[in-house]
Amino acid sequence: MKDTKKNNSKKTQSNQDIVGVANSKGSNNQVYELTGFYAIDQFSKILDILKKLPYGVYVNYEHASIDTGIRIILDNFNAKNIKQGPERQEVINNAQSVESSSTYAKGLLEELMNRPAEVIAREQETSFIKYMWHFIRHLFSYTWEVVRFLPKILRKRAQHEFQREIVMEDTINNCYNMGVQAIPIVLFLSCSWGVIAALQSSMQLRTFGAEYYCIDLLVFVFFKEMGILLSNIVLAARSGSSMIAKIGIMRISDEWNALQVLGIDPEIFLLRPRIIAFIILMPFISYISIAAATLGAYIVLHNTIGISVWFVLDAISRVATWSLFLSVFWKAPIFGVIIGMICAYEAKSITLNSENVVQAITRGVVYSVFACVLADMFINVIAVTLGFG
Amino acid sequence: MAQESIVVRDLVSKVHDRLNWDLRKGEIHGIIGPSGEGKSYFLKIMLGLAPYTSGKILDEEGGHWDYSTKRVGVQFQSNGLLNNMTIGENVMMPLIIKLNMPSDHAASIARHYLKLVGLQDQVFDYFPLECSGGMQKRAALAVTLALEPHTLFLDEPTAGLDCLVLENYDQLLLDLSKTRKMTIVMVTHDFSRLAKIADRVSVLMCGKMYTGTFPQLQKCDNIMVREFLGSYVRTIATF
Repeated sequence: MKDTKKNNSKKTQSNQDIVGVANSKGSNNQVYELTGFYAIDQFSKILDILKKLPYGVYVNYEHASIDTGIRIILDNFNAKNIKQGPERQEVINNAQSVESSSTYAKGLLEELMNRPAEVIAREQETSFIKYMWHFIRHLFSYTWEVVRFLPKILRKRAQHEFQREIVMEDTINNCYNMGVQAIPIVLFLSCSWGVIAALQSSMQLRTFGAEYYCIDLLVFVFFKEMGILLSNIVLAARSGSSMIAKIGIMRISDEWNALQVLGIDPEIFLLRPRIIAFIILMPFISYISIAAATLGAYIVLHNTIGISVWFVLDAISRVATWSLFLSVFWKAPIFGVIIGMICAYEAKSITLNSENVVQAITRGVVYSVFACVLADMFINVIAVTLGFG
Repeated sequence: MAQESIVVRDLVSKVHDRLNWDLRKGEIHGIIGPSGEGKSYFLKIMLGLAPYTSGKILDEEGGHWDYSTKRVGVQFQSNGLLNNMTIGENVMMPLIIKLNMPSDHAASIARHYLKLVGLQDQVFDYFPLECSGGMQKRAALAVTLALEPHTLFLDEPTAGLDCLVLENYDQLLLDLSKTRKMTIVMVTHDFSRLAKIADRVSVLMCGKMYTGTFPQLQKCDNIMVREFLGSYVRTIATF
């Protein structure tokens, strides 16, 4: 019992994933529950986990659906990894001979057993700083991978007129599917945002007696940031996710491979039209978003302080200068490239099964929105520093 | 001694263990084995679509086997037809892009190959999702055959086909092998069809490949291979 308590406290300190203690036979081995893994595609993930486990941990795979090859490795890992105790001999007896497994498996097991103790100890450290450091490192490596992917797609040339025609046709179709069909959502979302912003800002400005300047402020904000940002979020969430899902299914159902074997580059054929569609769509969707948000703001301000349409148009003509109006036109395609590239990269990285598709969609949407906000921040900082406001 | 088309030596991947295999020119070669042993994965390695750790894959001249420089056709397990194009366009597309063929000529060739695999003329304008699984399989074969490959890789080509179509399918493969000297590699679980048409068979077991004719394999040293073939024979005998 004492052993159990001691080990439980050790569990919380050292490794949160180790969920129990094998105390049934008086052992001092901790248990790692392996769940949710199946098929060979998860092989590398299981190995990563094994590499990080300290000595004396028993891996229980009863609730994991894994194939025979991995079972043999796990049995042998358990046999060699657990500390001396009554059940050690039992585990060793249960483990099939590693000789029946492949050379690759034998090599991996050897690598696992020879992992240096200090490496394991270091891997067990879980601190917030370390987590943040990993996150930042991952962020940079991911950005580098995506940036490297861009010229690869742009440099490739369609070999045939027919291919160029298909790419063109596909681009137009994607503009419709990803952009035109997203307009109702953009309209509702932006209009709602306009209503919220108008309500809140007019209330605050009323305290200074400046509620009539509310529309000037809102038009400026919509043109400057919010229109583009809302379009980013909608396109990444709606069209980006559908793009990753579609390409992902094509990858799983071997359509991607079939094209490759037929000598047709799937990156030109499937990814490029969608990236181009994002670049074309972004400015137009942004203008629609700005118009809808302004309409929402007008509805609120008309009913609260009684401003007219002409008052709004006058404010637009004053605030939305040509440079502000055109800034949407050059800024929005940058975000189109970012969303398109991230979604294309995620779609391309899908392998084997539908679980990958779900993960890729999540990553694609989250990273797209994240990257757009980050890029927007950098553009603003650079523009303000250089005096372009 | 028949000339070898592909030679694989000591291939090691995450599922294969020092695998040796050879493919002879003009033969129909079947690959069978228990599920999850890496038959489709092996095919993907041959086509450069999956990685391997070590080993050599050599072509007939002893150089490194590169599918992109050879006339290779593939029919994948899940057909690989593009759903946003009609069946006819699917067959025509590689002809136009890869062989620079005018579209009217490509259309006539597409119709010819669709007829060859037993599909009616109106299927030309159908989209893949409007067709049954069997029709999709045959359409995928038409896409592959239209490029007149020298080596044909088929992954589970007969799944979902009815008996009558299967008879025609077998005859088609035999004709292709005889008249065009096409080398055909077929991954399948359909043991009875393989027994009819295959010149040699490979059993993929525990990451290794055991190759030979059926009588040779039934006397194989590996008891698991003998057991595996025995289970097939017992299933057929039950019918």
